[in-house]
Amino acid sequence: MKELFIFSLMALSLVACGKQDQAVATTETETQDQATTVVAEVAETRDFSSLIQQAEDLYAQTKAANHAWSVNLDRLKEARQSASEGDMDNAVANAEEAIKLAELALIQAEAEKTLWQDRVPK
Amino acid sequence: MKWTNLTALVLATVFAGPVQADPEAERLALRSLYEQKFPGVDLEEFKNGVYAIDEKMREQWVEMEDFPPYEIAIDEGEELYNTPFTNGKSYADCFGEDPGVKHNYPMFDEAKGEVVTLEVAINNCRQENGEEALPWLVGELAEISAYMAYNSRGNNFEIKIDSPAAIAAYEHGKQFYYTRRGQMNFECRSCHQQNVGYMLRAERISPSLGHATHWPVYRGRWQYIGNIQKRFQECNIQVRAVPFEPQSEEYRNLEYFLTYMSNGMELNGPGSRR
Ligand code: HEC
Repeated sequence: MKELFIFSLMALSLVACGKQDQAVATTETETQDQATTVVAEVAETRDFSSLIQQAEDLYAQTKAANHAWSVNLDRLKEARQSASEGDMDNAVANAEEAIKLAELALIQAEAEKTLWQDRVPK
Repeated sequence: MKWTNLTALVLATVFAGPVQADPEAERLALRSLYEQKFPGVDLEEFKNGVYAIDEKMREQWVEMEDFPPYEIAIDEGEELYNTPFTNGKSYADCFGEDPGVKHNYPMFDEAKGEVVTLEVAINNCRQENGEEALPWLVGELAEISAYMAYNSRGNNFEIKIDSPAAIAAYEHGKQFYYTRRGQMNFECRSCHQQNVGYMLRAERISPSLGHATHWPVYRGRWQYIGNIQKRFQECNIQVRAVPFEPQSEEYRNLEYFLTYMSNGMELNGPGSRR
């Protein structure tokens, strides 16, 4: 994942350089607009890469606690898939959803450590 | 409460230590739970699962059993069982002359310190004789266990829990059964005790009593014969939990607990289900 992140940064900076060259021929505001877009894209990629890392870590914790949810795994898969297709909005949305689900699963895991005992018919 | 009573209580708590599991009392408590839910139904009938409580489904099932869909599996299993390993030995060297031993499984292997299901025992036997282990859920392993189950028909389950380590494995399985999982936040009990007898989509939910008697099972939906841990996976998936690996410690201990709940009941496998 880290490699992908670095690669994306490199790719974006290459695009940025190219755009700067072109900027010679365009107005100053246009150049600024382009720069803002590039910065936003870089921010989004960085955002996603830390989000997906967090989502993966939390999912691993649910798995270790024997409380993994299949829906959590589905969201993770979709986040990765969308990111690989460049649909960053969907990638981010799914990673965020995965994080939420993993947090709920961990709450369940913690609560269930003792709650089950009262359910055994006597 | 007088102070003497209080002292006695405190002393009792101190000396009794943590609560001891009593599998036999828990088995009887589960039986009486279903007795209350289904007055008038002979508990032994629950070896037939949901067909003990749904007349219409029972009729279809009895019809299906006229030409049992698992018959081929038994035949295949018999042939596999009696084919010697490359070292000349056979399953009989592991299990004895009578292949009908399923009523003793799962058993707690004191030397290994873990629960051994019939499937694990079959694969252990193969590996000890230089053969490769078979895939867990379906295929040849399910066929061999179908043949062994067939020969175990009429025996009653005699699952033993004889040591602290065995009790710990039972407890672990029991904990699994009563633990809520998945996004739906369900335990096995949620369906198989609290909603037993009700419909879930097109299926009527069976009691956990008798859940172990009839495996492996030919399921119409699968179109083949598979073992109980495949069903565990499906029930986990239904509540949107990630299923466990077949023959993982979790599922082996769950099977140990669940089979103990059917102790004393008659084996009637292999079976057929919708
Ligand atoms: C959401 C409800 C639900 C939950 C939770 C659930 N099951 Fe099931 N289970 C079913 C349904 C429905 C069937 C199919 C109808 C039947 O035979 O009960 C079934 C079937 C089974 C069967 C096969 C019964 C037979 O006669 O062959 C077994 C064994 C079983 N479940 C075990 C479990 C275990 C163990 C758990 C907990 C890990 C569990 N189930 C949790 C709904 C559930």
